[in-house]
Amino acid sequence: MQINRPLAFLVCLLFVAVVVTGAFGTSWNTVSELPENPADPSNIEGIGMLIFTHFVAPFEVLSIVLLASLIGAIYMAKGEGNR
Amino acid sequence: MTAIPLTFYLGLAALLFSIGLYGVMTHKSGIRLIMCIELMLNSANLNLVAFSSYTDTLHGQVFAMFSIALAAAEAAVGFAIFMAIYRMHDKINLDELNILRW
Repeated sequence: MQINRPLAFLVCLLFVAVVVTGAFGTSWNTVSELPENPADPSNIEGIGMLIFTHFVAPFEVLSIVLLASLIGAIYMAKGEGNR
Repeated sequence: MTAIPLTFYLGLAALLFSIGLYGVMTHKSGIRLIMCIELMLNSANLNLVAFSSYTDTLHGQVFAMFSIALAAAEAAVGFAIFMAIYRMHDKINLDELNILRW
């Protein structure tokens, strides 16, 4: 199958035009200055607190997903002799 | 000090996503396909972190971390599938790959 590079480029150009127009045309509800705490600029503690309190169930599910993908990847990559 | 407007982050993410989309549409190699998919995922992560930073909540950054972990799992499974395909065909050409068709 022949790949049509100009058509793909045109599709990407149209996509980025639509998305950038949408992003720049929307009046986002933002601040002109980033909210930051000069005394403690790190957000590691906040992320850790969120992971282990509010998002603890997705965190546990993610560990199972990672384990399953690890087992699957090793099984597929190892092969069984000459498959 | 005024911050960079949020729309610039969104524009950069859209640019990254379109580069990844172009790669997915034009390349025949599996490794390049996975790299372009990673590019698209990372542009989504950039959007998440930008919105999280501009709304003064950390939920978006936590979600970006989950997304990075899922991207790692996806890349591992993808490379394993490509290794199995390489054992069958001695090359990874996605145009000739029709064993999943029914």
